[in-house]
Amino acid sequence: MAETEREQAAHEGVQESVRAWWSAVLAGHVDQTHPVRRGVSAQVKGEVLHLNGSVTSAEERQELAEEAAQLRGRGISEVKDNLVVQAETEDRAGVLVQTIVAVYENGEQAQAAADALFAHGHTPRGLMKIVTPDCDRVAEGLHVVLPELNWSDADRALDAGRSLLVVVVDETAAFAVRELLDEETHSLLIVIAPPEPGANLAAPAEPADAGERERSSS
Amino acid sequence: VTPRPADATDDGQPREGAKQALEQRGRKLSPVKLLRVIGPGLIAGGADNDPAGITTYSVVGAQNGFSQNWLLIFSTPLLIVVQQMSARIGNVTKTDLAASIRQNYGRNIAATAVLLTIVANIITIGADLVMMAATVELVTGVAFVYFVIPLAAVMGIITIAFDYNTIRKYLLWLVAVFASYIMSAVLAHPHWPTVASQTVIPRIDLTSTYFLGAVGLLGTTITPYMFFWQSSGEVEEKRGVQGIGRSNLDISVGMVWSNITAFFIMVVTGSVLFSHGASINTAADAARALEPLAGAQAKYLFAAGIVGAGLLAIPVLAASTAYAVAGFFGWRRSLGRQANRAPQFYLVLALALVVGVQLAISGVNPIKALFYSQVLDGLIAPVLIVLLLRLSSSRKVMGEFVNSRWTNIIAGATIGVMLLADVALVYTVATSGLP
Repeated sequence: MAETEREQAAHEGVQESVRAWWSAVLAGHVDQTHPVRRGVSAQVKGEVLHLNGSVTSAEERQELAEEAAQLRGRGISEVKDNLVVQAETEDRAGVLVQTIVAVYENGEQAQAAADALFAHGHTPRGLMKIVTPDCDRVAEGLHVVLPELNWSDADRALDAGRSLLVVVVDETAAFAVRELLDEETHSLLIVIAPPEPGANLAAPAEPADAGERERSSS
Repeated sequence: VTPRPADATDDGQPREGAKQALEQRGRKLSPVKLLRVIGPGLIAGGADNDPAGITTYSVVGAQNGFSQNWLLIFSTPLLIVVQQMSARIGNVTKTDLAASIRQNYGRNIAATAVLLTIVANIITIGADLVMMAATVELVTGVAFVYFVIPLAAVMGIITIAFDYNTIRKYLLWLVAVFASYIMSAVLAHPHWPTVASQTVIPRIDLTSTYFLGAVGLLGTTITPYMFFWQSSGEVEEKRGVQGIGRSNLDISVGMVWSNITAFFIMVVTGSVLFSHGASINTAADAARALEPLAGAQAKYLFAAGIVGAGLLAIPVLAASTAYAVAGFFGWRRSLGRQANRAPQFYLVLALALVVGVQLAISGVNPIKALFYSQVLDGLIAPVLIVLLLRLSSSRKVMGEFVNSRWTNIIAGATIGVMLLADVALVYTVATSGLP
């Protein structure tokens, strides 16, 4: 599958899960948070829809308000927005990047993890690639992407027959990406390289090289 | 793939490093934003003075007067450095301490560290609950056992039902409760010139009471649950390396406040109980003994401090236990998640409280519970600080954000002090037996 098609499929999957979540909210199920905005929950009381939790920006709050507004007429007459916009962070994107290596039992699991990253809106900065044990590590540039001190971790995992998802992300997004890979995918191990200047690891590029991913995960 | 560049550019200039990139970002904290800095560091500082800690400071003050106040000045940089190492590991690795130890030193070492921390934390929760409830009994006259479950239930509901931001605000407000000790100290009318001179001029008495009090004081100040809380707090706040400056400031404020509180507790008991030769075993005893000597207000203020300390420290202890276990197993973990989104994390948190309650109402002697929790904390703290030191000085893990030379020296001194505390504990048990 071409990369754009895969991304499109992942995007549609996200939209579908968001729609399903709003339907569950309308049905009175309040035990799940929003599938994308994970700090947000919603509850219907009478004909009023209450939005609770926190968001990271006014734009995000507006997007949620627009999603909720579409429910008017489906038993909802009013939307009460209790969302809190978290204090503006001092952190700036684009200053530093971190390389994260997640180890999986096989290439399919690594691919599913990559899709999960796209599904949650984490577009990597620099590159994302899947490396399987049978691939040419030199051709894949594994030792170019990873700092030398982290080579042994990656080599040990590949020698044990495991597959890797290697992703370079902005340092400000690294918490969310690591948490997702650590807790929501079947990762066996997460290795995170120390932060380094973005200029050291490629300018922002396409999220993944479809050709390389297809080849290495096959 | 863009090749990883060499360390120097073509014209021979060193390539920009991560720290240099951060400096070029040119962001400085404005004074207005300083208040936003406080968070897990200040909470850790408050939680450091849990009811068990207040007991230790009270007993040390009652037995030794002001002669050990200088140790609080000595321990402040040690405490700050250890907490800053814990925080920086979270800032760089984007995960908590248990997960970092497991990843870098294997499951066996991580399991041992986590298991000992669980046991020490739970015993401390039990001892804290008893001391809180005994203090409420002192004020109300109703048997303490009736307060244990309601107090634990309040803390359980707050920790499990509310999200991290709400809990954070609740805990930060509770930190202010410790101001009650400043007021108690004023009411105790100490001889301030003596307090000042003994605080800034170290004095060492070559007696076992003095020496054991000193190591107990240092052992109470530097405790493992704070390490786990700090690294997890950084992850909850999502403070990356761009937030290290904020984190350092938060921790410095928290640890200084922690030792200022301890100082005033020792001033109260040193000026009132030491001078009258009063003997106490618990913080509640101290509050009780204050009334005839310093008035009812001093008693109530001291008691309010103990209850507030418990309301702050027990959620931190329970959450630290849950972070450690969930980090070890790789479970979902965050006080920001709803309970059904991180069931194992919240189950461990609830179990820690339930077992602590069980200990508190089962008639366990709080002095014994305090002793054993301090023994376990004392045994595990130097081992954990060694792991912290190794992690935070590893280029592989931390890159450019490794420890400075001074950090390594102070951390090494802390390990030495903690080992000395262990030797003193062994000596105590060998010469006096178990309590």
